[in-house]
Amino acid sequence: MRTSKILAVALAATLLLSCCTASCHASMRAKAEVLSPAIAAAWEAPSGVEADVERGIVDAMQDGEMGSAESVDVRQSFYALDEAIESGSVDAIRARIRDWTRLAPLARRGVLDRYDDGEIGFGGMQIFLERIDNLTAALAAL
Amino acid sequence: MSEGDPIISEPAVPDTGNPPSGEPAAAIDAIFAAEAKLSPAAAEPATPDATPESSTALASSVPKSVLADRVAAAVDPVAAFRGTLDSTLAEVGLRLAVDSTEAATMVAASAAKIASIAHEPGLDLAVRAERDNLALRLGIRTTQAASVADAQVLGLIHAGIRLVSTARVT
Repeated sequence: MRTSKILAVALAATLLLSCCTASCHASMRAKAEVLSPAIAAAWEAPSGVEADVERGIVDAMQDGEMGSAESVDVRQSFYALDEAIESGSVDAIRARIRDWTRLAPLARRGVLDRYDDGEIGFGGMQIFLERIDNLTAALAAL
Repeated sequence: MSEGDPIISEPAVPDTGNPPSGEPAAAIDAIFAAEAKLSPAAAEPATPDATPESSTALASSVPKSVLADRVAAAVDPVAAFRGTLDSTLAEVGLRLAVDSTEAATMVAASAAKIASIAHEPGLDLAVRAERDNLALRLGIRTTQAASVADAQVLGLIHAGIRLVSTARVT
């Protein structure tokens, strides 16, 4: 009698756990499916984060803060992330998150350069910087 | 949007031509009264036995539902955007990660931000960046399959931010 009660409880717990796991997986998959195109939309040139990164690289090189060897290395990260985002594959994007941690400061630099050149105002600059933060959060949530 | 939206939803009894209740209804009545006054039929009746009813009938040539939309946009652009969002999503068979009221509230917050920088250079770039912010925030919050970054939804969000911010500036 006691053994059957334990078995019933164990069965119920297993069912509950599997339901929670399935629900969690579905939720994560749904989030990834929504986030992947949102990330692509925010990334896309001509005025997306992609353009900010490119501008940041050029600005860093012009200011002598990035050598040509480093710029080649950074550009490899940039093209790899670009390709992953354009592919729309969640796994490919996840594999390139480390590249983004390297590129994010350059994107911020690109935004500040836009502001310095008078292309955007102070409020616009804040919105652009917020987009970089949101992109970072979205990549982390994938 | 809930079906009982007081401003932009269809009237409870279809095809009666009655405006929805509340402030917009009063505004519509005011427009009808003004149109009736301005109507040539009202100023110079075509026939001696012309009655106020006949001039009102001429003024009623504009469908009340169209007037209701115009009034809703003037009274509450966010509500008007919510209605547009709902009907467009229904037409194209998409759904958002959050309900349209919440989405419209987020669009209103973004529009307020854009309206506050309307004098700045690069406003169009800022609108696009704010649209991306909204789509990313919606995507981060979602736990169900949705169409946040679908091109049509992005276009709607973009237009919503632009229109509501313009309404706030003007």
